[in-house]
Amino acid sequence: MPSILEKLRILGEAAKYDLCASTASPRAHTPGLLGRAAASGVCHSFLPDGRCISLLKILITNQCIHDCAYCVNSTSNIKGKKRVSTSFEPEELAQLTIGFYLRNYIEGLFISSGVGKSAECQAEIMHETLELLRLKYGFDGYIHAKVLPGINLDNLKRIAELADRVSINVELPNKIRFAETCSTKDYQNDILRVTKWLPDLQSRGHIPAGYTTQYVIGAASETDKEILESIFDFYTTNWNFKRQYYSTCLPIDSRQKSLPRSFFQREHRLYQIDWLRRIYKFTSKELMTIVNDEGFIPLKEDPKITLARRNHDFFPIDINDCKYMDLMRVPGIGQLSANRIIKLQNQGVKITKTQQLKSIGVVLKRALPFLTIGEKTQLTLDNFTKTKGK
Amino acid sequence: MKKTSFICDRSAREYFQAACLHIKTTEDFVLKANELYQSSPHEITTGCTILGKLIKRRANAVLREIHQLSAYIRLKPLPEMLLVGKCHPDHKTGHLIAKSLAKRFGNFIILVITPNDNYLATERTDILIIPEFKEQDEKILIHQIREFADKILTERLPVEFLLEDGDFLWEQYYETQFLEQRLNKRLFHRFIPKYVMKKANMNIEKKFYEDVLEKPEETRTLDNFFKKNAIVK
Repeated sequence: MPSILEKLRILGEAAKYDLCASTASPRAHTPGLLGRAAASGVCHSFLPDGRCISLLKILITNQCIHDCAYCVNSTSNIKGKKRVSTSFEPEELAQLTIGFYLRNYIEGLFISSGVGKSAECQAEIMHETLELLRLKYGFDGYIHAKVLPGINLDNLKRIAELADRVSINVELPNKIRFAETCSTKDYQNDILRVTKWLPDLQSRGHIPAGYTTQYVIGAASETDKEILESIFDFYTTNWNFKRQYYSTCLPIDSRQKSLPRSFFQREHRLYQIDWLRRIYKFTSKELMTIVNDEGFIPLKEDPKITLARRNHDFFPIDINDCKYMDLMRVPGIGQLSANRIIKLQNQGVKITKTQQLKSIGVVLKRALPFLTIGEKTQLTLDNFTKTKGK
Repeated sequence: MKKTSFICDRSAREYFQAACLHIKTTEDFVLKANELYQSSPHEITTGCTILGKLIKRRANAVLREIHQLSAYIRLKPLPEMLLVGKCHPDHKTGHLIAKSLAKRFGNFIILVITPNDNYLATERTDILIIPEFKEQDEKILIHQIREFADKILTERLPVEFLLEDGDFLWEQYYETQFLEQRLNKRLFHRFIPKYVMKKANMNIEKKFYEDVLEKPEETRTLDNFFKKNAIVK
């Protein structure tokens, strides 16, 4: 029987493709309990690939009955391979979580699982682990539970009562694409049916940090247009997803240690559009115009710049006399710098030099062609052609 | 003009208080800064004068250090509800780091050991006063504090949470999470600069970083260049 160390290595390795970023939870802290989910979230370490480690990301088991083409644990990918199947006991997981938490390595737990015998059976074990942590050991840190496809409402409710955030992996944008990669799961019954229960659970006061989902990019022949349609739908009030994550499908059998930078470019552009929709409040309709005739987002250019160039009637805008939402449409100006500019406007401070903008955090190279500072438009011949796209 | 000199996210008071903890801050500087804070606080928040800018820059360095060390410091749990951490802060921030950790670990006594001093903090309501421990030797100091905690608290941390080989377990786990295909040195250094690794005693990250990132690069050929910079249509 594998030791804790071996289990940690095997089940940690199997969970590394799952994504979770924020550990912020608005839930109130109960005095006397162990730990506290900070309202702003904390990252306790980073990996050489630039991803943060804030949670103990682990599977309960790596055994799975499904045959998803993109997954390292699926039945189709372990055929003919030597692989150790193992599982954590709820008590072991609870002890590891608290042990690491006390050493200040993590902010909480991200718990997921392969579908061992059945989704219900794994959900029971997941619930038992959460119950041990929350009720027996009084753990008040952050918990993100990945619920399994096909789980029933009762089990989902029980998990949602104890976790800060739950997520269910949609993986692919629609039924047809989903069927291309997996024959044992049904998009409608196993994914969408479970997802539909989430808004109701949140409205009852469960899952305080909201619910999220994850797509695997490039696993089937899906287009960006299909993915965007699904993303925008999930951000509407009907679904109300807090966040959606995108993960490039890495070749399972590849011996290649490094892939070209452009391999991850598609994922990057999807994240950019996601942020434009969620934070910058661009409408779904205008974001859809970025997609080309083949249904893909052009990889060469930042989508925000593409949109700004198309709206040349709107630009340039006066930096000292504009609204927050107008600023958010300018390339090179983010949420933080837009807030700072508005704050200065309210204080009556006029911005007259580009250096002032730089000190605020604006990326001058991108922003200047779209701004007027002190009645001067910062257009040079060079960026004039770039802005007008001629 | 420095990047951070025009921003105004915090109050003048917060900037002034943080700047006072900067290692280069002298008594004379505190007096001048106080004068500026009393007369024209906006000069500090906007950093529009030389002194205002200096106060802000120092304050940001201090606040950054507190933020980073509170997240990156590694603690050792002891059965007497004691968590011990070591770090090398550049500024006088030890007490604030201990205070920030005490908020996270409400039931514990936090001991932060720095090369010059040690700091104790707790949010427990049953400990009204924590005596000062001035012992220089680390082992004796921890022993004294354990004795103190042993007397004053009846609670004990269950043995299973002490994870005797916790650091080794974490090291193994940390290694499994790395995706080699996504190697991004620039991003890694942005989040954990080398000096922070040293300040916070991040030995596991340091070792792994040296093993993975400082491997000799492959021969640079045109082929390699095109492979790395290929554009997918």
